[in-house]
Amino acid sequence: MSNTVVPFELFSPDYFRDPYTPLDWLRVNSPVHRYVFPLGNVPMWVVTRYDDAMAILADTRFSTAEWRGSPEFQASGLSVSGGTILSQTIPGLDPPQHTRVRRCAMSAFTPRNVERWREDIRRVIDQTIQDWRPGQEKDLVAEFAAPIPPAVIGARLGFTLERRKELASDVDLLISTDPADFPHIPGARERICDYGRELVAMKRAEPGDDLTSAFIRAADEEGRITEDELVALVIIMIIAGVGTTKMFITNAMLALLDHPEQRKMIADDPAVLAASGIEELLRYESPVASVPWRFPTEAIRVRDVEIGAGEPVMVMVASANRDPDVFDDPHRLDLTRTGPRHLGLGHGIHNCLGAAAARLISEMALATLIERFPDLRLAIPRGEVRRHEVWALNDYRALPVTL
Amino acid sequence: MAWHLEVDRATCFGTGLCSATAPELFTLGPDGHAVPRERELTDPADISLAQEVAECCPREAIILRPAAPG
Repeated sequence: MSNTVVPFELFSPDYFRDPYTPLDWLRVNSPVHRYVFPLGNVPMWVVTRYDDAMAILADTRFSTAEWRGSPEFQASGLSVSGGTILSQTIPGLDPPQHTRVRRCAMSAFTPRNVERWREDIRRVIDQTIQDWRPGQEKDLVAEFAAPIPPAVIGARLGFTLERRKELASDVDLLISTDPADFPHIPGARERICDYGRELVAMKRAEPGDDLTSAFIRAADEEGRITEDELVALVIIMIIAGVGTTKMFITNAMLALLDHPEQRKMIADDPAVLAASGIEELLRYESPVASVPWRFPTEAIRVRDVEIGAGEPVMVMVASANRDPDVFDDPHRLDLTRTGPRHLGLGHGIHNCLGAAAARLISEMALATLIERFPDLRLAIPRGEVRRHEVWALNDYRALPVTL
Repeated sequence: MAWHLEVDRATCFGTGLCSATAPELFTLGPDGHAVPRERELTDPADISLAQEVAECCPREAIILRPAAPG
């Protein structure tokens, strides 16, 4: 099974037109699939079943630390952190370091605390669409989903993300697997690290009642995190701020445009979003298609396959979330669906720290759009809505609509 | 001093953070929710780990408090 020849090319333009058909095939025919990443010919594994995905994400022997990757991975240029301070961001840490850093940040993002963001989120959404009128054309990505989350998170962190657009394109470069981008990646890493250092220096000079100042106190006064961990913490906050929630709002709106009867359910009763709808939209198309590579710290058996130490594993949550052994009729969007938990926000020690914030921002953004613009529709043919072709993401770059 | 360890099942989401970080203290039950392996902790290392994990829980579902005396 492990060297199964597949009737399609993973992560090709065809794959991105419809990733779910190939993922269905893999889940049945080669659930722990040997795959050679074309760039650098890195032997990897693609995991597509829900139970295997859960088991791997719950097992800390599957590390996210890139330095644990195989020699082929190290030689490939695929490392996102490239040995910079980016390797100190929470998603790439192992316990006990991970636990020590995450506990500094977690309390600000619990559902109880995020509930207090409502007013801020309301203000940001209202300002974003204050001049919008029915009949206008808008790109929901550039003009709605992209600006809202960074404005909200910036307010909590205590600064305005003035370089939001530059940051977003540098993050794109960081995860690019296009060899043409490779010469530009070190510069992007440096710019991101410099931005993080500048923001920390700025808040250190003028502390306020904000999260960044609290992180600085945790480093300077309480000695709970190092300077590098502090800068990395601010960096991961701003990277997350410009990325995943934007994608989720976009994916969710596209799914609702594809399913008018589900959208009507929200128009009739927006409470369905908080009750179960947001979770279903996260299951249906999470922003993260695969969680970041896992690197086994030792040889580990998954199903009938032994995965060697350091061999990168792609845990395809996009596939796990459509596993028919776990979700009835998995390709159907049903906002009232309940039952097993989806893996759209991960599982285990690296499950999404900003989950409550992402849920609340998305819920309020979607409810507002649907309420204010009941006739909102795509302004281009559906076939022209294209995914950005990155293996780890469900990311659309533009969603032109008529309000 | 003994500490009492509990998971609020109504709040727990089953994110698996606690059971992955500290499998010696937590496991996931058949319904996917976290369950403490021991209700009473006395080893200071266990207590400190439980405290850290409680602070990392995205749902604030882990409750750690001094056990009632006697």
